[in-house]
Amino acid sequence: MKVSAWRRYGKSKVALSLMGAGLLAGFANGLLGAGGGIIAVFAFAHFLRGEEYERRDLYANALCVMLPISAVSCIRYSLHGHLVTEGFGALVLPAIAGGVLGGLLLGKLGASILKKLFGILVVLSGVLLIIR
Amino acid sequence: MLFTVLITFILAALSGIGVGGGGLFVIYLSIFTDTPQLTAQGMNLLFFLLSSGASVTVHLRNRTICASAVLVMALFGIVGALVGTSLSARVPQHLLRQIFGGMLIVSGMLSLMKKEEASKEPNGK
Repeated sequence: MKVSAWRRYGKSKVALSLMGAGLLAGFANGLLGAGGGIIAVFAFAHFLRGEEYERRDLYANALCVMLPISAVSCIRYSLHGHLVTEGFGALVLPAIAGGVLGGLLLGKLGASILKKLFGILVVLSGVLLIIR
Repeated sequence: MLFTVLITFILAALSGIGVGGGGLFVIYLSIFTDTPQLTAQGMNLLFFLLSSGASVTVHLRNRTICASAVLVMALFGIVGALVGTSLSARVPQHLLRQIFGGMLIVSGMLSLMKKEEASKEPNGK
């Protein structure tokens, strides 16, 4: 790992923290079907932050972590009978096309105002889900 | 159906940019449709796999990935996911929905605070 964090915190501490963050992100992802990503982003922000990793790199790293974890969670949901694929076929293409577009835009967009608006929207949705 | 297709495209693009994250599809299904919480979560996972699987192919080319850190977190994350999914099948759905709501509030607030900190960076990264 070409990270100054190795030197800053010591190898075992970094490794243990990454394992802990991984466990927590996986647990959130399995329990809630979402939410692990933000844990991964925060862990990487702490340990990978350096000259060669910008904020967008941290997000890309977090996505790479969450993909295999989500695949396992998805298989388990399917085994438990909680994966309804009926009607999902029509959404496959827009989901993939949107994902590619987002990936391309991540390199070009600061998106800070958009993110702030969505932060507020996410908090409001959380409140709505709790009181409903 | 056209509405759902459009929403899916927009949410996938937002998720690829890093706005809102993977919970957006659950929010859409929970608020605009009658999908039960656990089913919404399962569909969100599938949605995430498709949209992020697609955006990761772009990121792998354009971004710096720390393979060893990703591998360590992913392996332990899979263990966490096995525990989390076992628990999700046992927790009553209304409680799960409330936990999900709590997670949204916390993560929304965290990302709002993170953005304030980011705007202080001189180069605006």
